[in-house]
Amino acid sequence: MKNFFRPRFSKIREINEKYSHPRVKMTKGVKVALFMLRLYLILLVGILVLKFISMVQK
Amino acid sequence: MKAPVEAPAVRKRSIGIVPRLYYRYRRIAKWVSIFLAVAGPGIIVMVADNDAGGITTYAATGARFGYGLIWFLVILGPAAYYVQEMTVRLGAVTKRGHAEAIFETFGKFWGWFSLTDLVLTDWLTLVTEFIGMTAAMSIFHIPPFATVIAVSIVMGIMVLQGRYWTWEKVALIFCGINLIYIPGAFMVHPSVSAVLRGALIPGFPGGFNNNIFFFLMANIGTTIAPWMVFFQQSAVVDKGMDEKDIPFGKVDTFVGSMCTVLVAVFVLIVTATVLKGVQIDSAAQASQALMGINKYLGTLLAIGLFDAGFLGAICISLASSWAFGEIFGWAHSLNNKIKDAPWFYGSYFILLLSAGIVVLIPGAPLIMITLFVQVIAVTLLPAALVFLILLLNDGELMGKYRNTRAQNIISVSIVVIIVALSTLYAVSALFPNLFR
Repeated sequence: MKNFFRPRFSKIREINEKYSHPRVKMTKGVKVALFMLRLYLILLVGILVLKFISMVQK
Repeated sequence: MKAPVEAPAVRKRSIGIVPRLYYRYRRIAKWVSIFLAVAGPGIIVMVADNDAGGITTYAATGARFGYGLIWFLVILGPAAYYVQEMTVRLGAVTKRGHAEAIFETFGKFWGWFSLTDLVLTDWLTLVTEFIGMTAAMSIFHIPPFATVIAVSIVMGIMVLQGRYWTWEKVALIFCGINLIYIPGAFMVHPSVSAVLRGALIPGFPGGFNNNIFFFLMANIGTTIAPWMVFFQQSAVVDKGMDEKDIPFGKVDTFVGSMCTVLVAVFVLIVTATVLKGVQIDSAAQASQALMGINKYLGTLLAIGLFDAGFLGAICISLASSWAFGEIFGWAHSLNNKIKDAPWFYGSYFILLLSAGIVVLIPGAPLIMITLFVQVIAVTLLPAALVFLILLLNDGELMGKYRNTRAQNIISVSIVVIIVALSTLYAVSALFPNLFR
């Protein structure tokens, strides 16, 4: 089991290292777009959590 | 100075009308032959977009609002074209799939987010395709397990034969079957003037209310889906398309978008003509209802539904496997044999078979899965579209193929509208009483 998972995790570490630095030039437009996207995802996760809580309460 | 001026005039006189027509024919024939060689990813992705869920949405829209929303489907065609056309340019210029492009350009956080969301959405959508296919075949008294096994075998043969070209041509045949709804619509003899009125005069039957809003959003959700962006870019790369192929790729996508609108409109016409006022919860239910009215029409609709689910399944399962291959560095081409790309084909079959098995589990929460598909797809769609536009504006990456100002105005407008509406759709799917 250990032998099976070890190379998989090392591959993930390798991918993380390879893509650790974004190549895109962080212009104002890119920063704003990524910030809005984060806000949007936080909002959506919030809605999902709210739904989950309302389902549990029922 | 005189000779170069006179020479073309002499040449022009010497070429008669017949040779000129011949050369024009040769030029057109050459263009068509190149187009036929390049065509594929655009048509397949667009027609596969009319998957089992899509057919259900169009059938329900027609039964509920008659011909009144045809104009809306017509508008969605160009919107889908503008989004998908960008993936053609991105794939042909970078020679990378969408997942890899996101990892490289935006880093590991956004990369893992996109990959995880894509795989989850794809798997859940795959389950809904199996739901559609098994429901369609149950009309012909074929048990679900037989449908799942037969579909898995056919899809396995399609990918394991070892050539992208063959896979693409077989997929195109299934795209042709999707057009079955067109003769189906002629069989019900709709009122041509009413259809044209519905197509040309925008309006909201019964006024703009929560119900119609829900249907409009559902139609948007089925027309532009996140997996389409990933699939077409990876298909463009696997096919080996180059910068010079971009104009043909654009035409391919345009033809596909026309096909998708045609099928959507004709499904709507069938149910609007024959099942007006009937509440439709699934396309299989519509087929069964049509069986009672016209056996052949019901059969056509059931075949069309199966084909729609099948097309969706073959594209969606590949989108995930391509993305895995790009990121994990596995061989990930349909041109590879199974021994050369075991992880690529392995992930394909794991996704496919696990989705098929879920449908066979007695009492599986299929309605919950369908709901989650809508919600999770919404989380990926804005991210995929925002990344697409940012990538298309990266001058270093795209060179002369980057978005122009006009393209940015159109694509940003489409994205803003889609994000706003699809968010409201997700909220209304989670909290159905919120807008009532």
